[in-house]
Amino acid sequence: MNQTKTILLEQVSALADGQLDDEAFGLVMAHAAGQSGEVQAAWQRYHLIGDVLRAGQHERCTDQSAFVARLQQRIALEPSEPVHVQVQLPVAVALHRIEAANEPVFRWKLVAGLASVAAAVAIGWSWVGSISAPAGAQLAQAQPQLQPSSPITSSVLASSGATGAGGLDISEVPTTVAVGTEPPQMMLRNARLDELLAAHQQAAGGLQPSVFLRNATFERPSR
Amino acid sequence: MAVFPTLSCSRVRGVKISALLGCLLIAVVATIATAQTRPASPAEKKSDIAPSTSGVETPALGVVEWLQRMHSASHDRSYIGTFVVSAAVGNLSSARIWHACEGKVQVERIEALSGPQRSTFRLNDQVLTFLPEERVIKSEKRENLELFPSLLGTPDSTIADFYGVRVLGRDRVAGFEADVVQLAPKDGLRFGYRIWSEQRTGMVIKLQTLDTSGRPIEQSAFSELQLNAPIKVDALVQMMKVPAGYKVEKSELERTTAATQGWALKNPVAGFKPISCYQRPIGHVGKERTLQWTFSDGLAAVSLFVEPYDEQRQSQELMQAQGATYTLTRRLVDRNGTRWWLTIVGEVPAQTLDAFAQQLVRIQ
Repeated sequence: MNQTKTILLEQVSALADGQLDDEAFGLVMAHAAGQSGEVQAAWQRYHLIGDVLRAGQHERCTDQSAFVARLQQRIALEPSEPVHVQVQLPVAVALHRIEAANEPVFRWKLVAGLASVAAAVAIGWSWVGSISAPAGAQLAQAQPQLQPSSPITSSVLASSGATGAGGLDISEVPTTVAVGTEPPQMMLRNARLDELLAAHQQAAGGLQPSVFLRNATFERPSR
Repeated sequence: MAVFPTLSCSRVRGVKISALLGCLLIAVVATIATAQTRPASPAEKKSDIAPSTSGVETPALGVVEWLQRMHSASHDRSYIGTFVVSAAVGNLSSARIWHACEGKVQVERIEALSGPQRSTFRLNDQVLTFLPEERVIKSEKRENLELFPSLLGTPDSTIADFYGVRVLGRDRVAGFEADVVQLAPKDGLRFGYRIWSEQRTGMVIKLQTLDTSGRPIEQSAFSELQLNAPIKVDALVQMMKVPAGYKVEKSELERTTAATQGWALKNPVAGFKPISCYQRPIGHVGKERTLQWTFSDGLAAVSLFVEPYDEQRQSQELMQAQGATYTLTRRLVDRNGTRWWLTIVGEVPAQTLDAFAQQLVRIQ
């Protein structure tokens, strides 16, 4: 049993170095597909060793298992199942190898794409983060912009003016209405308002599954 | 180890193996590409949303039936995906979602990928939010589903009185063909929604909130989704165990009624029914409490928060928007001259918040 495994690992090593011809290649693929993660680990290890010996340094790369898992997910979603199940694993590993060794430019494109997404996220959150940092304090002092030309603004002010009946005296109309075609430059936020927003989201969370997902994803820092 | 003796000529052989595996890669990619482009009709390439022309028929349903279909699809299936929420102001948040379902048991894990670290777990109506940076777990219960039985199976709902439904066509989201359905409000008190509902299951895979002029002000979507993923309820439940060193904070809500607290609406705001009313602690001192009275029309929700006015704390009156969420704050003076501070939050237009503010009345 152990000997079979040793032979298989030697074959995998030869495969990693491109030593096998078509027939031997097919045999190793067929054997390796039935094996546990050990063969896959060996395949990655041999490449790492090869990389270090050739280049004198190890190039950092992303988690291989994550890539393989994602590829498998995508393949599993295909109705026609184009690839025989037994061949999936080696193919996935081979894909990664091709990207890493033969197409360094491709990998940089990926990184560039991720970086721009990360930047967008960072920019998007920066104003929330900066405002919420000193929790408990009254922060953003800037007045929200008044936009008298906005149709929503005028309707709100008009209807506010018509109140006053009943047991409640609305002492003032809203001082500012930051609604309209352009978003306000600065939001008035404080820890207390964040807490109320979170409370509202909690109460509304049971309505629709997508509302719950949205709220859990798009949660304001509530502390 | 075989690596060493073969290393000397690895470059030559490397080319050969690459070529071989490259062929395989091309074969796989080609198959995937064909499989994905097959259902697409030429019309779909011209615009974002195409009229439905081929494949599975889009069902002709009313607004309540559409919502039921979407609701049960999201509940009854296991899936893993990445969910992205973006508001018009430009902030973008995303989360990784795991959802498993076995019989009546539903469990969900939502791992925030942006902003402060947090994981939300939901086991039926029990919600735990893990905040690892503070080593705190917030524990809550959600319990207002029973108030909209239409979404749980009984076709008896007022939702259809306030929203119309129109099928816009087909689109592709996260690799799935989807029916695009528009829910248009019948008055100016609520926003519209454009919903991408996965063709086979009905699951919501993209959602846009539209302002009164029909422009999207917020959208959320799966950027990547695996439907019917093999995840076990047990595995997710195991992850809800409280790790050592974490403090559990239970939300101390006290059920109440608005009338008991001395508040009422002179006239209801069209379509909105009260769904819950609580006294909840607020602030860090722990002594203060605020009344939270929440309304919903089945899709949008509005919360009214009322607390005694505090000159030192409360600030200016305002109306502001963040994505689809509008906030109004206002100072109130009742008949006896007592001052109150009102905050209204909801995914509704500004005038709806204003309508609530005008209808709220002190009855004690």
